[in-house]
Amino acid sequence: MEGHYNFDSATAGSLSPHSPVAPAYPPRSRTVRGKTSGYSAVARVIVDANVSGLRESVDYDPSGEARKFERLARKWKKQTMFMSAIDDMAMNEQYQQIIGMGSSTIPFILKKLKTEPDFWFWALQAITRTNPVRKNDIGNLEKMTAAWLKWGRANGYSV
Amino acid sequence: MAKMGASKRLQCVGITVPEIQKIVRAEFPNLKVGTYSVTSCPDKKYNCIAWAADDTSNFWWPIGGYWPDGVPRERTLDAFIKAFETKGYTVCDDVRYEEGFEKVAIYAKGDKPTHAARQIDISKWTSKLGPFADISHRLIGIEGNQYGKKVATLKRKKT
Repeated sequence: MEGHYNFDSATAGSLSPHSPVAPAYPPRSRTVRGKTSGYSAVARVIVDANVSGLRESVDYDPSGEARKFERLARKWKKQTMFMSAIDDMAMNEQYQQIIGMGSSTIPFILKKLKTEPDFWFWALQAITRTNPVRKNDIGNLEKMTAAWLKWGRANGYSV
Repeated sequence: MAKMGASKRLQCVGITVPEIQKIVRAEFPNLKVGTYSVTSCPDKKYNCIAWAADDTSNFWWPIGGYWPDGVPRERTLDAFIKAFETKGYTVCDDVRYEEGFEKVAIYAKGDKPTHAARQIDISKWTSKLGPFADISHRLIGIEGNQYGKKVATLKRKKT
C-alpha cells in the first residue's frame, strides 16, 4: 500500500444496490447479517459463480447504511488528512457517527480496512469491545490491519 | 530548482504531485510558493513524530499508536520531549542550524502537541503531514490552524 492514496475516491469498491453483476449469475448461497427487522437490515448476498473461475461478492444496501458509512468515511478522511493525533481522528464527528452506527458497520469497516488500511482500530475496538492487536504491534498499520482482518474472518465476516 | 526537480520526479498512486501541492497549500497558507516542496507520496504507515524520529515503519502517538517504552502514554509536551529523549535528543532553546547537530521542533495547539518537524539544513525543515505527504519547509510555514505553534526545540549530535 506504500504510496497509495485515493484522496476523493469513495467510489472504488462502493456498495451499489444496483450492481449489474447480481442477476447474471444465480447465487449458490445467501447470508444475512445484522439486524433482522425492517429497514435496519443489511443483507449481504454472496453470489458464488463458478463460471470461468469467477467469484463475485455483491452487497445490497436496503437501509442505506453502507452509503452512509462511505459518506462519513470520506468526510472523515478529508477532515483528518493532516492529523497525526489518533485521538483527534477518533473524536472527529464523522468517526463518532460511524461508531454510533454500531455493529452493523463492522463489515464496512473491515472491507475498507482491507482495501485501504487506515486508523479504523479505535472504532472497531469501541464497537466490538475487543482488541486483537498485540501490544508490540500498536502503531504498525500493517500488523494492526492484519490482526483485525484475522479477527474478522474468525468471527464470520467475509474479508 | 533542485526542490522542484525532486517534486517532479515523484510519482504517486492515485494523486499527482501538483494535486498534493494544491491540497497542502490550501491547508497551510503560511507555506509560500518557492519555500516548500513535496518530498514524498502520502503514506499512512508513519506520521510526523515517527518521521522526526527517523522511523518510517510506525505511526507514533501516545494514544493508539507506537510509543517508546517507558514514556507516559499521555498527550503532553513533557511526554513528547521524553519520547524524543529516547532517541538521544535534549531540549534546547535555539532553532538555528548548528553544524554537527540535528534538531527537532514540536508544535502544539494550546497544551496539546500536534506535530513535529526535523531540521534539514540552515533554512529547511522536513515534516510528514499526518498520514499525508512529506514536505520540506520553513519552520513557520506550517504554523497555523492545523498544528498551532512551535513550542519546543530539541537537538542531538549527528552520528
